[in-house]
Amino acid sequence: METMSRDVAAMSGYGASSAAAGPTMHQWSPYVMNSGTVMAICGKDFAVIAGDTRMSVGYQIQSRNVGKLLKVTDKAVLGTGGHCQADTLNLQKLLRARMVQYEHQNGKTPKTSAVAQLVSQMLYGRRFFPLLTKNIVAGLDEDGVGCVYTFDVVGCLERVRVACDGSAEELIQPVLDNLLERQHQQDKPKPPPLHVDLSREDVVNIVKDAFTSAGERDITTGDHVDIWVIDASGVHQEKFDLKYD
Amino acid sequence: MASIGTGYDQSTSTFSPDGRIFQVEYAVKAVDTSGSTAIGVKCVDGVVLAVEKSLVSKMMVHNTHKRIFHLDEHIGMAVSGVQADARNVMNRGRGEATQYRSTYGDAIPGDVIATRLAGYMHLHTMYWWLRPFGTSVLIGSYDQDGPQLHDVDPSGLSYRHFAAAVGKAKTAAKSQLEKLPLSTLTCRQAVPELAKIMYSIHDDLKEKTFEIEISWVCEESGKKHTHIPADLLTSAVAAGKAAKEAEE
Amino acid sequence: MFAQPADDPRKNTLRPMVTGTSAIGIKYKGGVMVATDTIACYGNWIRYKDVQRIHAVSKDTLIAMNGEMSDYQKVLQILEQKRLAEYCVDDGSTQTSAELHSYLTRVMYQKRCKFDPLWNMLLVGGFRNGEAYLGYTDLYGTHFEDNFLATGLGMYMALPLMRNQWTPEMSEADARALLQMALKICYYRDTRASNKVQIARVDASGVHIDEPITLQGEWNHARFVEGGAKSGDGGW
Repeated sequence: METMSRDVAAMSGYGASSAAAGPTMHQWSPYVMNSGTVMAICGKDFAVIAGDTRMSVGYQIQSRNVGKLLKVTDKAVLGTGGHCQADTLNLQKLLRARMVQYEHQNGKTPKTSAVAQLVSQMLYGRRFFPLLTKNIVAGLDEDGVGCVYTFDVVGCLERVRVACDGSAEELIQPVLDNLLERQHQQDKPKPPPLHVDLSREDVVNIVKDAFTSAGERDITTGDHVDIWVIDASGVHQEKFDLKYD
Repeated sequence: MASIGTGYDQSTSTFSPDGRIFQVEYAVKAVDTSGSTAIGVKCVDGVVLAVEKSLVSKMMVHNTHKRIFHLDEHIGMAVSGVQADARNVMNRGRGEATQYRSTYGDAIPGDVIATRLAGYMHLHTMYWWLRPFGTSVLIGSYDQDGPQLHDVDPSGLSYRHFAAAVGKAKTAAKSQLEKLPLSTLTCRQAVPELAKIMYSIHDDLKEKTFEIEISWVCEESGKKHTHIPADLLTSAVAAGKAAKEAEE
Repeated sequence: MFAQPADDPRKNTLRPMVTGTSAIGIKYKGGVMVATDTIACYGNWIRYKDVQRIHAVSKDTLIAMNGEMSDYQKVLQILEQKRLAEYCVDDGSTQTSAELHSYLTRVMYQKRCKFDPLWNMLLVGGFRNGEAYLGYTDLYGTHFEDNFLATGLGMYMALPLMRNQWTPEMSEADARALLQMALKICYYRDTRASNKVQIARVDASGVHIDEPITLQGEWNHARFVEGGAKSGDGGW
């Protein structure tokens, strides 16, 4: 997590610390890492996206109740983890405004793929002063099939079946690779190309297990998890408790 | 107007042979023909501003055609003449007030904002590509130096007054204002008097329906410019109507 | 020390000079209450011994500051300008605390993106239509709401206390007692905190900023007196 903060800072050239020779000069960095984790998994006709609600700075918990998810349309949710919360808010506010503009100009709600493309463009728009945000867009595509898009900090976009971003990414992603992608189970059938082949209940349970485990090992993931399930009837929101430690 | 049609009335940047700037005179004329009158009185405890407004349409939403504006918390401006021009002057006034605050960290004095707006309006009489403003305004303020009343007209002239009137019926209004005890009058006393003047100068033959808008900046309002309380306006209007009927 | 090399635009951010320490705030039943002490430090030196660090920015909103004093004054100017612009519109509506807070975060975020931050952590407190509002923003543009908040060192010392003791049913007196205790703890342990403190609240009747009061410290606890000598390390 700290590595990532440094990488982004280095990429933009606005690093907090410098390896230059000579006496170290106190250099203000515009980035602060508020951390946290988001993950998403999509099924045949649903998608699940989840994010913890802890907001921390260093070893300090600033708040136990700051969500990381944003409902963008009835069929798309943006989740942001491992983030500088100020950048996340900026992205969310601008994205909400762009959604209204899109509806006014086109008379319809944007498709989830369009939302993902727009997020990508907005991130790349800040290529030389990146938004310190690791984003996932989850929802339903135009055929009603669950979809998940992942981004890197400067907007590189990919459609996947499962995704995890943020401080507990390294803890959760390998488990998802195994359980859902079955990358390490040679005799088991591979999942379909666009989504995983598990039921909604199974997926929600995996999400809960993943966050419970991450909360035990990652100090910046905890408090509560927002678990949102997107299906044809809309976005269903649930809150799941983690430990306060 | 002897020189009309001789070509000297087309531009503000050319004097006529007898030393007049016709476009500016026409702008003053535009104020007088636009139909409304604004009057103001400086009292011992503040300034009261009043305007008459004809009701443009019965379907218009009540109270949406304001002719008295805030320039700052302590400054009000009553306008007569071309409304769109008046809005431009208002915006400039607000800009001047904001700019003064950010530079000096204090509220802009009444005489300063009057001078600056006079300069702005005068500027519009100096260049061939500009048209003078077709508006005259009254500026009521209350600062460390106490209450002040200024007027600014399209030529860029500005004076400080005890009482002033601009617009269509300014002459009739002024002769009535002169009769008020200006050195002892309080704002509370002035409100019904202004309403009475408004009703007496109104030309019933031309348009029957009109309403009046009154604001003040005084000790009672905490030295802030606000519209007068609704009950005070109601009683002032009643007094104005009664006086008009008694006269007839 | 103040000179900025012209060839390096990255170094145009100054470090904070004159600073105020923790600001804390809590919601209670029927209002919101915030508190700060009344000193501003230049390094370890108390440069100003009687400053106000809480201000009303509308009839039902106040802000409390932590960080650079001059930047805070700029914040107050920006909000005053906003208030006057709203007054001039004269449509009878006034901005809610949430709107002011959101506006403030946009100002803070924009300044951070220009590498010229307003070096503050700010609390926004308000009360309207029976709803209390308490929000936080800082030099990065971070922004959230909570039932109780603290900035600076208060985050480490006051926040845990409030997490233990806060309830939504707290009365005004309970809230005052909790804030005073939190301020006292900050005074004991934060070298740049003072015991001359100011408490302010917003309730249905509007903003009330109390006169500063002086908290009495208890320095004769047995552990205070003996602790250092016994353990030999001077700590307690």
